[in-house]
Amino acid sequence: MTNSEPIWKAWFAKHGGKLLLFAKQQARHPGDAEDLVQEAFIRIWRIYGHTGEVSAGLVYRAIRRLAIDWARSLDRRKIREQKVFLESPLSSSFERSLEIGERNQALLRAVEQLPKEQGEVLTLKIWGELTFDEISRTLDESLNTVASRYRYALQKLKESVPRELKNGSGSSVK
Amino acid sequence: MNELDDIEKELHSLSPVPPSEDFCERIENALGDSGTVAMCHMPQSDEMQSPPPARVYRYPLFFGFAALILLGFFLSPVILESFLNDPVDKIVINPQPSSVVNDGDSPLYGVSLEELDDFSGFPTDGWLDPTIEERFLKRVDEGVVNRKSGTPARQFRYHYIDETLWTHPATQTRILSTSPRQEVFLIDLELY
Repeated sequence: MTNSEPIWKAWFAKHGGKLLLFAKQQARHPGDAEDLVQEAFIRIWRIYGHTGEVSAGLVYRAIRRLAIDWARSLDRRKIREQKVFLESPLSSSFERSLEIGERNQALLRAVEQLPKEQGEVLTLKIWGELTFDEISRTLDESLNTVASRYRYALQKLKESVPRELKNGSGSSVK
Repeated sequence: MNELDDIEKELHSLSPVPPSEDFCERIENALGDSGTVAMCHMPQSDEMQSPPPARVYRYPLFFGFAALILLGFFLSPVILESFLNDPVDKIVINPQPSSVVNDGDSPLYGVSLEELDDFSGFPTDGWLDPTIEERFLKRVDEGVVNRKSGTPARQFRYHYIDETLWTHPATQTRILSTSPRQEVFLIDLELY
């Protein structure tokens, strides 16, 4: 390997945004998302980084488990209280381009309104690009459960996007 | 179902924002030396790793081979006799292993059994069954590897020396052959 750029940077450039998106769904507090990704990524990279082939599924799983641990932790609650956070809509986690029109904004608002269980499956499947098998292991749910949640999520989006489009003018994205 | 496919496509068209430079810098600082560690490819196979070609001491091996071949030569009339007496459909001849090849570099190559008998100067009868002893040398922890299934495992490599001793009590001759061997063990790990 003659490339001077550390391998982790290329890996993180590819997966970092998706991990953050998932972490935002998992965090009990929005400001914990970056901390969750940092902690989970570093733990996994320290174990597997030498192989140069870290499975993103492992980091997603570590994020979820850390989020559960942190929700129980008193120390973490103190850190949270010392920080000031601004709630940001889901659309702020996506790249803005000319193609992001009104319909996509309505779509993201609809994603935001999905039940948490469906939203996390959708995120892992669409943006995390995990298989249903990997998702079931990440979320500790059965394969059938995650597949059903994914199908329900898509069904719900299909129904709610037109409604969001109608209401769109009143809740436009920043 | 097509409508759901359309929704899927629309969702795929949206890309999450890549992490900010500040955040990457934070990760870099937190990662420390782990971030710059050189990449090395660990063996991924779940099966036992085959040991490298055995390095043996030439002379003991040579004499060991010579003794075995001479033994086979003297037993061959017995085998041939049983072969001729048995009905053909009961005869089971073990095929030669495919790995057996003529080695042109071998000191035995092209040497007839008679020549070998003269050359080795060893008796062909009276050898005891060889004793084989496994000598443990060391255990090396090779770190964490991923199995093909994606589950992590810690890999340990055990190094052994296998010693085979042929003894001929009448002439107080002993032939010792040693060959190195490795075994790899994978112990499944919890994620964290």
